[in-house]
Amino acid sequence: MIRVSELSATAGAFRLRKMSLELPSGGYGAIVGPTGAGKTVLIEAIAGLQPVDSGSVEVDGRDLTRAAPEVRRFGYVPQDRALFPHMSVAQNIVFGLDRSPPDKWERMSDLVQLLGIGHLSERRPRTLSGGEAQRVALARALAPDPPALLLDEPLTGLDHDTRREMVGVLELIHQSTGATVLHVTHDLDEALALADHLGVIRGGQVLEWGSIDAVFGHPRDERVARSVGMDNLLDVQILGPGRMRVAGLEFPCLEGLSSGSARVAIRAGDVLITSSGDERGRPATVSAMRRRSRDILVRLSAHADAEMALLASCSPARARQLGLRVGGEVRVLIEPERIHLL
Amino acid sequence: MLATFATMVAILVGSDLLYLSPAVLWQELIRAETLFAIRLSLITATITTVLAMGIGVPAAYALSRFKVPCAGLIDTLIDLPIVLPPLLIGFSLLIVYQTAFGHLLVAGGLDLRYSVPGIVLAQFLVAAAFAIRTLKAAFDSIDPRLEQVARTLGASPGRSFRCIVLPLARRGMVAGAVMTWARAIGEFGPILVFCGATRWHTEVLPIAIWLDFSIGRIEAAMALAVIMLAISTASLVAFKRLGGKGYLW
Repeated sequence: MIRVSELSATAGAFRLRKMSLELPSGGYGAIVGPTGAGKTVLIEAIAGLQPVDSGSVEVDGRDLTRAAPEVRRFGYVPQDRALFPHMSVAQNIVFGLDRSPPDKWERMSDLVQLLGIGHLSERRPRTLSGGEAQRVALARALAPDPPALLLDEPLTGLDHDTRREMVGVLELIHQSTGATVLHVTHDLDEALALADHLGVIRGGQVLEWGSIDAVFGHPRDERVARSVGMDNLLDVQILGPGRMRVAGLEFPCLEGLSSGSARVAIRAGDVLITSSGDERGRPATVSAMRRRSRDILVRLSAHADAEMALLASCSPARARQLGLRVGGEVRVLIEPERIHLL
Repeated sequence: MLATFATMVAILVGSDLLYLSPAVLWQELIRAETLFAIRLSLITATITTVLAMGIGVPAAYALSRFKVPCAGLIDTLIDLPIVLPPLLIGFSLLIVYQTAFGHLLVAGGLDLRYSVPGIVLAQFLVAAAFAIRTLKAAFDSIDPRLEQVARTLGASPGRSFRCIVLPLARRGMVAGAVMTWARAIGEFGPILVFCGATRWHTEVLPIAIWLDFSIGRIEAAMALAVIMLAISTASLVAFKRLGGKGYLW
């Protein structure tokens, strides 16, 4: 298990503040945050490449806070891969192995087979594509059988197809080696595709850390909710048992909430648009529509002049089916359990 | 403008090369005194280069990689011997021997004035500064991330320097050493002041040229000048071919 407790570190003008997280052995943790949030500093501080001001880093109960990087021996893969340019792929992979030559080459052979890079052994890093270089960097990091892999934006700079391919490679590595992986990224989809633990980092602080279900499904912090794709962050009125008003629209909500105002987060995808004839939904007006990635983002309000609005998303096919247009009347449904109280 | 300047340099070099006939040049080159000056220059410049590299590698690496206290001041002090008037360096060396520290050196048997080791010291002061500059440029060009990754793979700082930095900086270091050597072999002012111009004693190539020139032996001076020209050109070509970077004062 990796346990990071109250870790603070300073890198130039940037300060990492009291970061804590626990990742069980064999777990796959992802930390999501924008550029400049402190992801790289955190990974470097755990790897021993960044001096720590306070706090601790433990692996399986062993305190490594003051240990040199060569003692910690985490499998670190930096964003730019940092393959040794003067060595062949094979030499890169065996660099960290303190074994007899036959053992060394056997380990390398296993890894190149696992990662499908056997044909690259004699090549120099400068001749590799982004995906190939990433596989080699992973093989090199895995070779000494590290206590954990620390991956800094491992899919950045790769084209769409290669990214998809590399997600498969990371899954394969995790499943077949049972390695503990801590992966930092700015891409939530990447994190969701791979991780069982999720963290959100902002301004040098991990705002939330926990299982995917807890952080993605039920974020407690508004900034986390925004980071994990909760488009609707709204003040609501709890009208009574099982009823609330959101953006001028009345919806059923979970029982047991006391009357008054509250702050909620709702994913756009959880706001269901139905036809105006559907009696289950609440009537609303489409006040704006725009394309977002593969979906259509729809702004809904109680009436045309309402200040507060709900954002919903649906597929273009569904939008066509419903005949969605700005100014059009629709009905809106939200399942009570999809409304997250912050 | 560029073409005009290049033409001026070409005229300068061409004049030197064409001044002597090959026969006269050869005759002057095989004189015992010329051979002595060549040998002394080669020996002192090589020793100086070894010493400068010995100091330069750790110093340049430290300046390139670590937060050195008073880095700005140290940087300026390192550059100072390069920009100081050469005569002033020689003069300053003589002045050191007038201080209490200098008297201690003399008492300890380290009186280097007017001696061959003094030539090495005079050459070293400028050459070491030059070596640090060129070596720092070589180290700066290597991504520190490579060493960091090597450390996470279990390499000690020493192994990471040996296996990552040295191989990657090799060409830059050799280029730096070549230019440091060329710089040392061309040193004149500090040697003239600190070691004097004594035939068969402190007679390195630039001193020999000056001695011959001062007594009107123009052919001998020109023959030595052609040697120095060849050394400088070869060093510069080697530096460029090795991809050397940094300052070329």
